[in-house]
Amino acid sequence: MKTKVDNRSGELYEEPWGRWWNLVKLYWIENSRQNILSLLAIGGLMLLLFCFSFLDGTNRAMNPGFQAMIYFVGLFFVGCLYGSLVFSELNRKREAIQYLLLPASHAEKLFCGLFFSVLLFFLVYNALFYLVDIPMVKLANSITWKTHLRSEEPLSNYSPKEVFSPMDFKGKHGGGSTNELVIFLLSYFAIQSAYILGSVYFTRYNFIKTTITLLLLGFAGFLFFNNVIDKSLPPGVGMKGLFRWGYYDMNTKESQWVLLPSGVETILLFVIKWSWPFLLWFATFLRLKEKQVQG
Amino acid sequence: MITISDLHFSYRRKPVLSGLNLELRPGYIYGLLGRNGAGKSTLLKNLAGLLFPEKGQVRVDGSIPGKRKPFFLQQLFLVPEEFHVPSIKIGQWVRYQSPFYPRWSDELFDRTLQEFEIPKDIRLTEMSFGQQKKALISFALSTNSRLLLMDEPTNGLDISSKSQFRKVIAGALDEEKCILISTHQVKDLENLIDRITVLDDGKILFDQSMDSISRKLQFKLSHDPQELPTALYSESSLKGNALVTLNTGGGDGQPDLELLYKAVIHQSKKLNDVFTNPQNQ
Repeated sequence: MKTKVDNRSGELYEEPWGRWWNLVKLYWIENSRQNILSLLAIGGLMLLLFCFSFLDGTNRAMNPGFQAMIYFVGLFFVGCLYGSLVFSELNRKREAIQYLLLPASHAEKLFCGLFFSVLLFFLVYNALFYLVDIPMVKLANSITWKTHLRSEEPLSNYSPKEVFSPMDFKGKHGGGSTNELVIFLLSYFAIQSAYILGSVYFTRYNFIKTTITLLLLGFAGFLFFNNVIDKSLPPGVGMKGLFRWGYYDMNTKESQWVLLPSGVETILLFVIKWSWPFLLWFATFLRLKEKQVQG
Repeated sequence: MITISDLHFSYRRKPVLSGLNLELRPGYIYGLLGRNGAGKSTLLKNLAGLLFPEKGQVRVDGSIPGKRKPFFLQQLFLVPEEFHVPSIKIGQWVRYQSPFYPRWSDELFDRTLQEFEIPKDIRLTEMSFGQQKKALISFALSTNSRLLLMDEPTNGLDISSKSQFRKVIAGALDEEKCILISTHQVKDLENLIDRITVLDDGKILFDQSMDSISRKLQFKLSHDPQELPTALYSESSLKGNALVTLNTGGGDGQPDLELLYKAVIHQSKKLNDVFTNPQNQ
């Protein structure tokens, strides 16, 4: 512990970094059993789901598309659920009193929550996924190989399954592009951040309420783009992306584009892609500051 | 140390505290009494920064509690009526939570636990409610926080624990600390508090030091019906009439807190007049 004496007041104080690390240790010691059990449950569930892929025939077991589906569905669902639990003690009066009165700043408490729910969860989830995925792919390949040896097919027909990598989304693993993968991962972090905000914002049923809020916002956005933006454009002009508009000239039979200056478009897209988690974390911080314990 | 000026607070437009003014100084133990729903817990939460005043202000050593700055939180410990303990052993609890309090004393913690006869080697969640409460009180005292707020601390404690509690609290006070105990179990604070503040309907009904109460009031049992008209408050009991009268004898009377509390609730004007009337000074 780094306790120092303030030169002006003569009071003892704790260095912020030391205090944050103490928060991390305290959070871990209070929640380690629950976290480890949850991880074991997630690992077990992944194993079970991968086993199901063998029911579809050995040739199709553990194909990268299936691995990708398990990876992303698990990441989105479990990540958001965990995010919605990270500040859930604020919804229980007894725990909220203890949490809010613990001598650490709101920012330190937020960063401790983000450390566990965003950073550590992502790393541990990936480690857990590969801990289950790699042996299962090996098992699938070994079964396929034995089956192949027994068959009369030429050796060239045998193609071993590859371990899915979220960093290699191109072509063979689902036909997506790296850019799409980044957007997918960024959407995950943005949506998870919304659940983290929901855990501070709502006092009860925060997972359900956040889900409903996100669905309503998504629906409102869809209606806004389709009924307001699209209908306010001149005839023949349509949206071709967030900041691009296409125009088909019936007379000249030529398509024309309305574009923002490339620098402006790049900046706007960058902000929209990357800023959501940060904005939502900042909103969580503000909400944490104004949290009261009623009743 | 604590200055409360014109404090207003409402729960969903229902006023709980209305224009409260109070000053608390270090070196004293304050007893905050009042009926259920009088606003005692709400006042403590406002002092701790768990609730924000609707109007008026609260200052603790110049800090605004609602900002919940770490420096402020290090100076304060609240023992709530309903509390949470983590599912860990006492040793782990101390190891991981005490570093947040720069004035923490291991020695005081061990001594207080011993006083309360709390075993150290079991999980907090495996303890009885009373044991958990005593462990929390021990922790609170060992933080050496300058402001200790306690909401119904004797609820759930058995008779011997209550006397242990009084002993421990009296021993923990020093000239830098201010202890505010809110309770409706008036008897539990006897011989412990230095000042009594009675809240009712969100207002301070009575606020006097125990010294002043001892000097000006007398608490006695009487069988003489002629004493009844001169009493500030009376109630009949099997042993006779319990009376609160003016202390005309000159010596210090031993205050009966329960009787005083009832007198304040039913005859607050009469009682306050005793302390404000210059003839009684």
